[in-house]
Amino acid sequence: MNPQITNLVIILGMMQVSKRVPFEDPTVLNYIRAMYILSNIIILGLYFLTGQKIKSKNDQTTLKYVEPAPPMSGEEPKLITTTVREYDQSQLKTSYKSVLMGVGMMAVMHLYFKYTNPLLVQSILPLKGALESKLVQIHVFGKPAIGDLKRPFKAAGLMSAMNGGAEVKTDKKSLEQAEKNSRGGVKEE
Amino acid sequence: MASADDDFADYVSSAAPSPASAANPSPLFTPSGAAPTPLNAGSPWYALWERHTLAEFQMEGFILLLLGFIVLTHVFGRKKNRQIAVNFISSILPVLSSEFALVGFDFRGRANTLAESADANAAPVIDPETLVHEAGLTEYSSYATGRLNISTLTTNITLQRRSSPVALLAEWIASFIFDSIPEPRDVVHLTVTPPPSTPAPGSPQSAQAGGKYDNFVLAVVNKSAMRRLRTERYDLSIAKVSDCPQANWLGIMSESKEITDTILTSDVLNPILALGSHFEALIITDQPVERPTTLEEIETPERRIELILSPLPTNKKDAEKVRDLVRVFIRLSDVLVAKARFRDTVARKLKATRDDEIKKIKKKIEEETKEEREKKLAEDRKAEREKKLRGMSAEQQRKFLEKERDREQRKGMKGMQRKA
Repeated sequence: MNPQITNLVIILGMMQVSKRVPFEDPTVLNYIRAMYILSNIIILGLYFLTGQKIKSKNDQTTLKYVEPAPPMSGEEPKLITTTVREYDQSQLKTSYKSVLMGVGMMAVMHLYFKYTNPLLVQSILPLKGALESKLVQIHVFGKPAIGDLKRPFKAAGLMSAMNGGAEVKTDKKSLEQAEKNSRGGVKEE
Repeated sequence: MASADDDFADYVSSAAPSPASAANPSPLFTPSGAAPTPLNAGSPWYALWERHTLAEFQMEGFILLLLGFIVLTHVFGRKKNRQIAVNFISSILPVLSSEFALVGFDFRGRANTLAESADANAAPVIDPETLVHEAGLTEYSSYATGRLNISTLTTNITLQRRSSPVALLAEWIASFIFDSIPEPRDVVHLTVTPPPSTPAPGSPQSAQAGGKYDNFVLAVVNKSAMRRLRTERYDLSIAKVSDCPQANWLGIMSESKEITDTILTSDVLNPILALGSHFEALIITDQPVERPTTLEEIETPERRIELILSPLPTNKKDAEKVRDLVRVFIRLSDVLVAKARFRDTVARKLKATRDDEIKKIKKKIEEETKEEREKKLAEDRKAEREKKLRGMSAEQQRKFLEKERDREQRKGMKGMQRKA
């Protein structure tokens, strides 16, 4: 099933559930807080496990792909030459960052603005996202890195649509083109 | 009863202010409501302990502690960094002193490794402390010269900011958040500069054929640094990446297979394979690290051989492996002079790559100057017209202006017609 549709279903469902949850009751509220913290600990644990697996596998296969230039920048698409291990680690770093980002946002919303409802949804959705993430699928669940899980990962539908349909390319022609044109060592102004 | 009387007598006597009673501590408040005793009556003016306690200075105490911590970490961190740099240099000193005439900084530039004593086999004694030049708390460098086929060898050691743990932590966090900021790490960067390929006439180097080899880019890199090196460095990005057949953790960036096979023999690769994860890159290049933007930058080759090591070896065994690799690295300059002249097909390919890059820059410069030129042209035309007009009589001027108007009208008409 498409994860985005299930996400939507969960959000709508949780909205109904949260209407019935007595957030005013301090014991209930503490339970929900505990659930949120637990879910984040599980996520971080998953990512940590993934990181350990990446290190122990130490896959040094060369990975070449063409990264599309940021839209409206006028730059040329860049050729990235890396290894599977490096690629996985950089992807994992982005995942860690998004977890921290989410927790930070939640902390502001909950501690400063005193919102309680998002705690419920935010303890389920990120966990689901982490379980469905490609790295976890490959390294924790041991799925083969083919099809959708083939590196470089394709961005999910919504994100790539925002990028103006630009996607990472791995076909031989664009690789050669980029190898000819992309040059490093650009001076920073 | 007698004792009670005594107590009462005490009370009475204390109610009358006397210098003796003021001597007891904290006489600020007298419960009886009698006239307050003067503050320092009876005790000397410097009796601070009567007016203040140590508890009042808690904040200052913390500040002092913090200051002490900062000063201590600074002193120890600086010492530690210097120690690391000196240790590294002294670990490769045997190689340096056997290969170079001058190692380190001698202000008179005297050769310091040529054994002068009768015992020629004895290694010259050089104090490693004098070999390292400290350029800030994280930058250390050393220098060697006086060898065939090499004009200088510089060793740059960049270390983490151990002198300030807080700044180091901030650097770690920044590198985690922003991809563009590199993680703080310890790096050694050795650079061999060969003598110029076309020495100035009359210079002592023109006598020897040394330093003559084809310009090319070739690198062996640790794959974990491959992506960073290729995006950071212009010179590596003009070479093609391939896997090293001897080890899966090494990548080769080369402009031609023939060059790779000629230069990267097992003599060069074996010490790298032995060293393992401390090795980051071995680079032979003639191109600048930063992407050139002017013709001058791209047309003057900066030939050098670089060896990048990171992290630094911490045990003796690894230090020995580093020494072996550094020896091979220094002798690579001889290998280049002996072998690095390639067949015409290869040479043509090398030249084509460089010419393409030059063309790209020319095109870019042209585009940038085009607008400027057009602007200047229009200005010139205007100035000429004015000059012409000034030289004419009134009648001539009238005729000239009429003609010009006619010409413009015709132009306009033509444009209209074309549009219609």
